[in-house]
Amino acid sequence: MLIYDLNTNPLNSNEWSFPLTECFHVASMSLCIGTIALVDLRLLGVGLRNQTAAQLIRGTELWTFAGFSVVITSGLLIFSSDPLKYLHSAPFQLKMALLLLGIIYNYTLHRKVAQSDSPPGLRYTTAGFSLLLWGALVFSSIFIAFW
Amino acid sequence: MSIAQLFHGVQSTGWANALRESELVYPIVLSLHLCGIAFLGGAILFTNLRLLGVNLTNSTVAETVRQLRPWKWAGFVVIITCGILMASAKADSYYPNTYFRIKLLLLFLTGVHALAFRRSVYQTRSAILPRGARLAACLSLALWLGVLSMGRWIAYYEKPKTVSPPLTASGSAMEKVALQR
Repeated sequence: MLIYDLNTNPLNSNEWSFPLTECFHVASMSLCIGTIALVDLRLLGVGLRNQTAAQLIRGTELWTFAGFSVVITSGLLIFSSDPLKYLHSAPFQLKMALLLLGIIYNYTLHRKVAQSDSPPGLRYTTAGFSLLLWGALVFSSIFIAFW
Repeated sequence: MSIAQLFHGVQSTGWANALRESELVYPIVLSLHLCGIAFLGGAILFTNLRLLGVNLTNSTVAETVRQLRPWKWAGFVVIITCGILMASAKADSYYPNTYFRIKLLLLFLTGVHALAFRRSVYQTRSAILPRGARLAACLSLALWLGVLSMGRWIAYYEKPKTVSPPLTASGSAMEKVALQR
């Protein structure tokens, strides 16, 4: 049987490592969702209106991707500090489902609508769903600690 | 009335008590705080990228700032309202918290920063970046990352324990003798 001693994980034994990892997690979450939100605002016809939604996708995609990379890496580290606790947490399970859905949505439908000349109704729905989905993901993250 | 008493007074109000004891409302307020941060991150980053000349170069600095302003304010209002609510609910423990104090100081500095660079940088209507634009962008990013980190660290503050002289057998012989007296 594979035994994983939680105390061997630096995140559990070093005073600084856990909060620092969380700072990376929150900052990159903000980078990731914040850049997607700029595109959402544009799809809603507000915000950075000198750019088209397609231009904004081009301008933000690298930052969004960097955000995803750091947020997932730091998230995996946080997960490693107590895997069983997270696996058994209902908000965490919901969060993972939302994350998977969010990533797929962001790189398929969301992107496609932003890059094409879509009718206003479709643009608004796409942006609204995106904002709701990422908001729900933030809520599910916080509730992990309060469940 | 001292500031500590003021904080205690805030914590003792009915709604602060209710928020602290609520199992549902407190995490909702915290979630909204984080949603605001998520929403704001992109706007702050892209304002600063514009100042660095990296992105959005087909609009002027002033235009970029103007287009993002209402959304930044909306984010701030949500974040600050939720922040005040949470700090009030636990005001007694927030008052001595060093990280909370540093966070307030950094927030104050972001205000100073905004005023200091308002005319010289943020109101630029020409395509050429003004002097100080890069400095303003770097300072802004550093300050906001500082605010965010200190916010996270508030949860890890430990009150310093009052240090009492060791009564164990360690220390020099002279100290042991002194203790026996």
